[in-house]
Amino acid sequence: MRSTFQRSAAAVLVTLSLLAGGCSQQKSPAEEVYVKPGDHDKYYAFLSGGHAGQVYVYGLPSGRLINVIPVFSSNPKTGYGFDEDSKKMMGKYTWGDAHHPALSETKGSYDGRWLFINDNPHGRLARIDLSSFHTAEILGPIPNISGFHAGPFITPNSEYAFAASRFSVPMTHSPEKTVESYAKTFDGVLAGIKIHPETGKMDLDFQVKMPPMDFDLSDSGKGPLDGWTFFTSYNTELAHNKLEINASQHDQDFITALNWKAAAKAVVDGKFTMVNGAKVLDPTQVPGLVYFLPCPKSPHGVDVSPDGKWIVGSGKLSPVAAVFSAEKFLKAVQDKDFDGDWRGIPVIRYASTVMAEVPVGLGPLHTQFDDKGYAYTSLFVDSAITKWKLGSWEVIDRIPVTYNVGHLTAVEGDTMTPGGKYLLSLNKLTKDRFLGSGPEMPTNAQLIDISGEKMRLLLDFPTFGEPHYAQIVSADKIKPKAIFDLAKNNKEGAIHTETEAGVTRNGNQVTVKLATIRTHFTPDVIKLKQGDEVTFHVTSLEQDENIAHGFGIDHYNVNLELAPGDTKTIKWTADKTGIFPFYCTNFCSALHQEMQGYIEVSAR
Amino acid sequence: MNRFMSRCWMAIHGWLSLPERLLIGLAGGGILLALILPIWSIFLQSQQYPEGLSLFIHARSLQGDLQNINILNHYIGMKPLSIEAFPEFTWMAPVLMGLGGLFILAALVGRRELMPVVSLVLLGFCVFMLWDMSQWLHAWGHDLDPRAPMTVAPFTPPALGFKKIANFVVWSMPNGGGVLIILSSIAGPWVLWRNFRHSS
Repeated sequence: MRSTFQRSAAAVLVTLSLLAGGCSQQKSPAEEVYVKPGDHDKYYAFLSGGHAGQVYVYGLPSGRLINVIPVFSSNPKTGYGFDEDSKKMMGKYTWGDAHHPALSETKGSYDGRWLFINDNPHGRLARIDLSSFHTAEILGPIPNISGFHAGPFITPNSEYAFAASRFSVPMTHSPEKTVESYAKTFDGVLAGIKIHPETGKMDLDFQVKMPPMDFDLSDSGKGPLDGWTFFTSYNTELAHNKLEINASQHDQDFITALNWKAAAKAVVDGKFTMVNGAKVLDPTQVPGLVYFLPCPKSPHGVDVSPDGKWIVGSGKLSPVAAVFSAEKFLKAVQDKDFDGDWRGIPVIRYASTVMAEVPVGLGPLHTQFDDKGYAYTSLFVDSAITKWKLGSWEVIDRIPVTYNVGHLTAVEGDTMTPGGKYLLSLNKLTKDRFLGSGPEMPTNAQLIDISGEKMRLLLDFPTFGEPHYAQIVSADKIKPKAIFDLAKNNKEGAIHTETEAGVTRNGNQVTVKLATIRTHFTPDVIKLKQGDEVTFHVTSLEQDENIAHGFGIDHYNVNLELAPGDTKTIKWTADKTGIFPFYCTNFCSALHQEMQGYIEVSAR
Repeated sequence: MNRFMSRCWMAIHGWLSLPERLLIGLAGGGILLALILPIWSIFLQSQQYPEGLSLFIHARSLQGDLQNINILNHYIGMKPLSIEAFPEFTWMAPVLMGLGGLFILAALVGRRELMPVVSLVLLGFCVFMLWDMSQWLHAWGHDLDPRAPMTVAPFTPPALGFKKIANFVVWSMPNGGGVLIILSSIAGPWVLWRNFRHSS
């Protein structure tokens, strides 16, 4: 009797599970994001760390934090900001507000070579070399730019990155240029930064002097719009105080369209004046450089569709995303179909270029694209993302997010070849989503599956600082090295064998070439005189993957991490007599704890 | 018995056929190729080296993860492996050139009588090298610095095959060059065996 019951119960269970298996084509969210131990994620996500001044590297779909790249802030984990090269790159600043990461592109697709990111307060642009995940270069502070928010949003072949001023200031200061004289004497500035096609080296090429609006975000044109870059421009009221009220009066502000190819040519033709070391073009004197495209109230994001046919402007204080036709825009420029000018710059007729005002919802900020012709717009006020169709302009779906999304980023979703599959909602608020960890909270990223008709929430994971923007790239495009080739290390002070290590003295100038290899320093006893100015060139002679050594000096603010084959330099003054131990700060091997040495400083 | 002896006699006398000459010439070429190919390889694998560490023994050099293997070996006080430590790397290449030349010469001369001679010389060389390598491995595994951080019982890594040593499994086996030398050493006996079977 009992066994019959068991058998029939089992049969029912089997039938049910077969039915369930047959019905659910889709993996559960848990199955979708689970990456089993030892397996790799399919995508890299590079998230800006906002005022943490760093870039966070996550794997998707797992949401695992893989690495932290220090850019504008020092980081003792790697010794960034401690060694002389990185200190020189950081200049006098110990922090930055990292905003918009931009992966280098070739023919409109990510090529995996570099990641650019801007620093809002100090007007700098950094380039991370993705072969090492090290910050390789910081350009700036770029002259005349105050509040570098709109950028870098590079061109489809990485020819240019852009910068623009969020906080207009006078280019040259004089007593009569008071804050109250803002509208008359302050300057907005757009800048084009040229990127060397082989080395990635960045150089300020041109600037364009603009009315003192607040430039917010930008995107470079693709396809038919290649050669153009678009900047959202709010505060056409030209308010200098109480901006939340005074800069929110006009129902329309502008998208500023910059013809960067024309600007580059105008610079070559010598049509600029030098201001604080920058070649500044005046668009009222050089026609054809910039045009204003009216856009609904206080536009925040401007995003060009993958095929370059549409320009989407998100008026953050309006409930619509305005879509402009690239074809009509170019025709209006050609036919001079203007609605007059504003401060000497032509204003394109809104009615002749706008294609749709898509009712996406409240507080539209940014738009990303997938591989099937859909657009996804983030809504800060509604705390949601709306999916809509390019061309038919119909709203397809909407998903609430927790809480208050700022930027969003889809897989390669700002390129000419979007990947679809996933979308990351970079929410500004977290509130109750994780275990409480005090009043300063992380921010919440939400992974959304966009492969189906309906968007589907898969995963929450914490992010830090404030990820203003992110880039998601297919993992096979990024090919980082595991070690530096010691034989090719020609950094200053580098050594290739332990026999080259040692101390040389020239008066009180002492050079220490220090070798690190499992599990010792050479030399490990260093005798100095008080007042010696010491330059340590520390080299890792290791060539084994993942074997990193550190170099820390007790009671001194010194720490470095050395990847295999790398050399770092640090300057240090022996200001006190005494014995100062130094040790390997990065666990390296079974005898790591023995990897130490002594600096003996005696009276001169 | 007489008949067997006469068949042996017939097998090692006379001229090599053209395909046989080519085979012996190729064997000589194979020995010469061993000058550029790795002859032997030693492969170490452990939990933290899933990709393994490799050592390739060439006629004139040691290649592969030499530095990393030496770093690991220094914990148990093993002397560093280097080209300078082994005189074989100075004479192995000329000897291989001589052996290769001997086979090519034998192919040109074309007499079957030479087959036992060149084959025995090469086989003798192979046996000697295997013994030579074993004694070096024994010496390296037993001559451990008593002041080394980790004390392990003296050991002999395998010259051929595998063995578990501390946290590593060590594999030792011929590589391309070694395989070619071994194949070359059986070319002569094979020719003689064929002739023996066809003689009656």
